[in-house]
Amino acid sequence: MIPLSLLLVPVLAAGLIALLPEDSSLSKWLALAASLATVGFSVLLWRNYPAGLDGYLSGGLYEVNVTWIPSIGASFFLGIDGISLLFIGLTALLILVSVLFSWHAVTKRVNLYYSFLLLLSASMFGVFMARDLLLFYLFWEAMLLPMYFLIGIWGGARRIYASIKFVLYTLTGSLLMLVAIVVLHHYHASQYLTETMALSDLYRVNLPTGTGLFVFLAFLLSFAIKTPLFPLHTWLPDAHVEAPSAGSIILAGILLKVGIYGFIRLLVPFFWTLSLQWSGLVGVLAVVGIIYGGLVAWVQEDVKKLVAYSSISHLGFVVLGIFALSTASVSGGLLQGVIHGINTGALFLIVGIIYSRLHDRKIENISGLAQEMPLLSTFLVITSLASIGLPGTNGFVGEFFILTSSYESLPLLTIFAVSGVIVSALYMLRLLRECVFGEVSDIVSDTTSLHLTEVVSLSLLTIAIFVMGLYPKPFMDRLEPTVSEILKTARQTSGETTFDRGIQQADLPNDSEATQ
Amino acid sequence: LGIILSINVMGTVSFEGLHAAVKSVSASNLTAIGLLLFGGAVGKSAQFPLYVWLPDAMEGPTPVSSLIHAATMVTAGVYLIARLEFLYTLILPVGEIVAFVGAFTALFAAAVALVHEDMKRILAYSTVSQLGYMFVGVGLGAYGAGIFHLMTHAFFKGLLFLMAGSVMHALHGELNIFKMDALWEKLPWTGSMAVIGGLGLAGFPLVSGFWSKDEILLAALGHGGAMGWILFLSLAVGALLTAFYTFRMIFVAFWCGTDDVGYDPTSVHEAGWLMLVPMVILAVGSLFGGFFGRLTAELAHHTGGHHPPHTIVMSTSVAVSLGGILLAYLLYVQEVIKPSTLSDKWHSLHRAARQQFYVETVYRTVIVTPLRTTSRFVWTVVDDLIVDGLVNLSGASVDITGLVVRFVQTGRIRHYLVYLTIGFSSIMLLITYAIFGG
Repeated sequence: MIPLSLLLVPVLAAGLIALLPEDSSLSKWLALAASLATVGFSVLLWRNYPAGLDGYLSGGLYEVNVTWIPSIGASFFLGIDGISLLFIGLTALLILVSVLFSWHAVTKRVNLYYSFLLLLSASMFGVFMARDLLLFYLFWEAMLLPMYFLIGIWGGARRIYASIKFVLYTLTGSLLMLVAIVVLHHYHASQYLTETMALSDLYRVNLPTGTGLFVFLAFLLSFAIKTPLFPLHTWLPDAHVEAPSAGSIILAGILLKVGIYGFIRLLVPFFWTLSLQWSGLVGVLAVVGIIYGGLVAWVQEDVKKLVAYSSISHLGFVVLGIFALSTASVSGGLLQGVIHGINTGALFLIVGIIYSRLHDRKIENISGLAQEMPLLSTFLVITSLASIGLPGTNGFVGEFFILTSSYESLPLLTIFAVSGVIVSALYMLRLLRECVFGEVSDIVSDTTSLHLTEVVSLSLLTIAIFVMGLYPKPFMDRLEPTVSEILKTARQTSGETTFDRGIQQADLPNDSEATQ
Repeated sequence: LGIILSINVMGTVSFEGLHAAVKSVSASNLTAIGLLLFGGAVGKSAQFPLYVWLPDAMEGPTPVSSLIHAATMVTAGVYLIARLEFLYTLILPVGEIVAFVGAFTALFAAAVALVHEDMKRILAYSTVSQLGYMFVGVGLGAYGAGIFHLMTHAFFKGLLFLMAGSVMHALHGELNIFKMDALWEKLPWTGSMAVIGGLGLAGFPLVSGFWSKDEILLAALGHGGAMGWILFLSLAVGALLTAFYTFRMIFVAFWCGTDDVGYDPTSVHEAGWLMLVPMVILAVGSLFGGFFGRLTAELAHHTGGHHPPHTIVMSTSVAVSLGGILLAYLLYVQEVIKPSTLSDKWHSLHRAARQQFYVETVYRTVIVTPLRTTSRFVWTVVDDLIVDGLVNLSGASVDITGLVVRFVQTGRIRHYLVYLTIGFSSIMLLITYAIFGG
């Protein structure tokens, strides 16, 4: 019931809103109601999801399985496991935040805007719940269209360039993935004589070496573009900068996470051995991204671009964690993915507020925010510190977890990654020093105070920052079983029984699960 | 990194767990962990070369300086090493490195403190220097001595910072000691506090700082060998400098008159009992804290190696302390030799000391500027030009292809007839070849 509601409620609301007369304020309220409903569903899901459930192969909680296209074995197969749970929660939270922020920020073609926002949310929920490969691909692609329009219509000066770049870039990856999907399906049909697109079945497929490598790379590239992984990251700065603020929040908060999700949901389980072999290279790219993204963020002149590059930097940590391929590191990586969504979402929200008041994003023009907008500055300082990874905030939890557990399999890379923490302090503190403190600059001196909606959305995110930072246990408890199931299955289906990496013995298929 | 390594090697970070696990860890891993954790301590406790933040942090309010930059936060590094004594006793060479860094810092910072005239800066460098003493203590295994000095230092340095705050308050922000005109007349209470704190810092016999510094000097000489003597002598010289710069500061500010006054002399008055009471509390600790600590140190004493004749150390302590104070008195009060003559004569040395022997300059030219330039380069050239260029190139190539191919669409039937003919003949040829050919 809940998975379907998560999909249907936003879609229905989107449809209703689109039908409303142009200047009706009802659309905002409808959007708010829909997003609150999805938040409510997430909370329900959270409370019903027991802490030790792996929910993975078994279809998880609230399984929905309806035959769809029998001739190729595709079914409308939804399920929720630990990973999906966390990302669904993140999506619901950020959609709510976006709706709240857009309340005052969006003034033209409002109905269409909220429609697209809700459609986007529905497709994102779909991605995180899909257990059928074709369905997954469907939702994956469905995310692109609303985003294209959101950037292209309500974006900044170079929005057309940015939106087209965004679509073409990610579409290229997705099309590669489509080819890979077809290949997978074909091989499964010839090997097991059943047509199926269900993920749990497709994991069994054995691909010949050359084909296998191609399919692996296709998936890898597709997710690497979305994540984004250096050097496929250049769509991100433009897309983020030109997108409307709520668009950036969603883009950075959730859209980037689907790439991460794809890695753990599809790439690693399908190709355990290849993932191990390529983990070194991917790890190197991840660490390069951490330091490169951070250093480039340091010298930016545009606030939004600074935050965009910081995303590249932070997600490098996530990718490092995932490709260290141990239960702890993957869990840490996924958790950090959720955390990054909250933190960077908050940062973009703040940047959006700044832009809506000052109509300027150049760092050299902004100064002395602390004196004119003290509440906003407080939020900015807290969020920046969370982004740096100050203990007590959620950023520390994620990064520390990843670094500690990645050291086992990728020690040298982890050492370099640690320096990335210093770099993040560099650019964040520079931002604070230039914009928040100091003399009040001209454009800053004449600003209005924060709207209620903005305060509420900021507070929600800040609370999340501290809750996750001080008590991450509930999140990890729901994440780890699923992750260890995935890795166990991956190893089993690839026929591996021994390790050459010396990772936790408890992860071997025959042992009972021990918590980290 | 140290913590990460600990977790990976020993599987725990609780102190009890580490204590138990330490024995079974290889020496190289222990050394790595010990060094990495010490690296953290170097940054936190402002040892060379990661001390540069401390003098700059003096821009903050003075009570903050007193609390965290003199007594509590900066001592966290010392505390860490003392806490992990079970680890460090197993890796004595690392301990020697710790002690060496500490001694170097002690001497270095004392030399820099000599030439500054901003009261808080002097105290900041003094803190860096005294922290060095503490590290010598814990590095050599004399954990009791190091912590003892930590506690006495908290008293007298905290007191001195509060004193500086009181002076700032009275003089409306003026901190240049050479612009202070014989403050003793107007601020006798603050002045007394300054003297008490100064006696502690200088290690005046029987005052708290004397005992704790003595313990550390004892540990240094007791370490034995050339290393022991090097440490002992550098610390002794450091103590001489400490006494000297401390009383230079006090004499110049409180006794020496000047016409170049940096504040309005008529508005100078004591701050009132609210500011004085905390100072008095610390003053008591500064004076008498030594006796209490001496007892506990005697009981918990464990320095490695033999005890050198205590008289050597004791007499050295007394000598350098009194000598330093005397030197300051002669130079600044009696002006036996004018200090400006000395600074002129040793001009380049003086200037170097003022620039912290160019440490910050090195930081700026070697690290900060190149990094910023590289980042900017990476951004504009690599990202925008190369990576993005490739992306846009792909877009542009599609454009160009379309532009070129477009010319095929001429709209003229005769051209299309030609294409048709060529195409059809090619296909026929191919089919013929396929059927009749190889």
